[in-house]
Amino acid sequence: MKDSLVLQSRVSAHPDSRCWFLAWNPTGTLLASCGGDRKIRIWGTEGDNWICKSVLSEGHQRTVRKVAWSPCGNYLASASFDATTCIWKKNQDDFECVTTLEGHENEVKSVAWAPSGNLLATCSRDKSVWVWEVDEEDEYECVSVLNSHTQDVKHVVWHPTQELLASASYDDTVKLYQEEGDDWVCCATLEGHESTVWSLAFDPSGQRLASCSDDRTVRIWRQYLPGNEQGVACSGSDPSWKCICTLSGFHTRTIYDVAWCQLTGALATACGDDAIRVFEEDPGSDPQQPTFSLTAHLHQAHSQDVNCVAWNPKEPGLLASCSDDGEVAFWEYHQTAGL
Amino acid sequence: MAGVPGPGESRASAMAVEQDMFDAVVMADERFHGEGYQEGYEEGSSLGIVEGRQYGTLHGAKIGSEIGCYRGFALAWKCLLHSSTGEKDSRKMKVVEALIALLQHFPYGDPTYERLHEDLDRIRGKFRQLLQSSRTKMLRWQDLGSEMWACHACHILPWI
Repeated sequence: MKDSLVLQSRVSAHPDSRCWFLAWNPTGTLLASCGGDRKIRIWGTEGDNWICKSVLSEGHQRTVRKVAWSPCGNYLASASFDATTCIWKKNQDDFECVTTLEGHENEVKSVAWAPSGNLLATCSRDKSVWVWEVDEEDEYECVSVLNSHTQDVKHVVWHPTQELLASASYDDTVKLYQEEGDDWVCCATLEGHESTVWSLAFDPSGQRLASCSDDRTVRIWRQYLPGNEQGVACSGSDPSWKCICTLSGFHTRTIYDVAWCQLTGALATACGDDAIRVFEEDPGSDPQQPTFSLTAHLHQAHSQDVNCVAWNPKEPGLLASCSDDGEVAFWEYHQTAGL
Repeated sequence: MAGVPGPGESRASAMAVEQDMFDAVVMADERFHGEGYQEGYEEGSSLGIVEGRQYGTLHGAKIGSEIGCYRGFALAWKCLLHSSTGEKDSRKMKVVEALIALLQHFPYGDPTYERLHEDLDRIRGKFRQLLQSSRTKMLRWQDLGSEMWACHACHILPWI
């Protein structure tokens, strides 16, 4: 029994350009999109339609690759190929660039806010991951430069509840970092993918991490703490991560993004074959060896590569996607009764 | 009777002598091949050692130059921050001291140190962090084929 993904609306967000990434604000009322046209657009609903409420255009000199909202919803961070990260402050419908973070040697590929709101992470083609701290006066200070990856770092994401950072790289690995004393260190390296890891997503509890790759698979990793009852070996007091599930054979091209719905636990993927797929964990499957089933497969969701998928944090089943064709699409995912 | 070769035995040893003579001719090709290989291998090994030494010297000098620059930079900032108080400056000082400590612990004399690259990456990361917090831009140029590093302060500090 296949669940369905229905198109709600489509907008030409970044005409004649690529739309690279989407981010919902914490209340789920606004969607930020960014693209190759160097602009960031903020979308909101007016009745049944999605309209562009603001355009942030003077911030960057090159493609804006990712955007991220702060947990309080008042700030937006944008990562650009111009090697800078801009922090925008929201003032009703207006956004003002309050700081520009410099330091990376070349293209910044991703930016992410920690759930506490005090920390920001960026990563770049210069192979490094930077951790920044923001104080009460909105001043940003770099607290660590991590050179653990051996190639371009594509994505960074924070754990939903702990101060744990994950990064994905062209070197085929996922690395995890945490604070140790005064410094941040790499506490785990997840190996298994056979090609570039493009994106990451934690599940709602933070116990599992999904990664997607150029090797056309999605891998689910689970954290095992020292002294765990499954007998998974840990070194010292550091938790260990093990790959507990691999979704292969579903995607025919590179998987560019994976999104784990914090409300329903559904997993959506954005693929280079222009399709969007949704997976759900089979009810009753062993938590140590879960199985996932494909519950929706939408061919030609876009006319070109799908770059990003993002679940609305408040409205279950509302999914946004964007593509190299410059468009943003809004979908409704329904779980049909009985599997 | 013992000690006197019988008719069969002397024919066998005569045949053996004949075979040795032909061996020398027939096996000449293979023998020269083997000798040539041996000579080549030895020459290659010693050339390899020379090349390796040159490479090591060059690479070591590059790393030395890089680390030397970081050390100078850190010590300069240590002096500049020495007399200043304030939250921000004391945090900056912590970073400076962390970098100096990493540089001091680095085993300069041991190229086989197993964590050489890891430690170098940590040093580079700490340096970049200091660079960022001191709002300094880094310039880099090729000087007579070797890479030299320099730093250029682009913000004026209030107390200078």
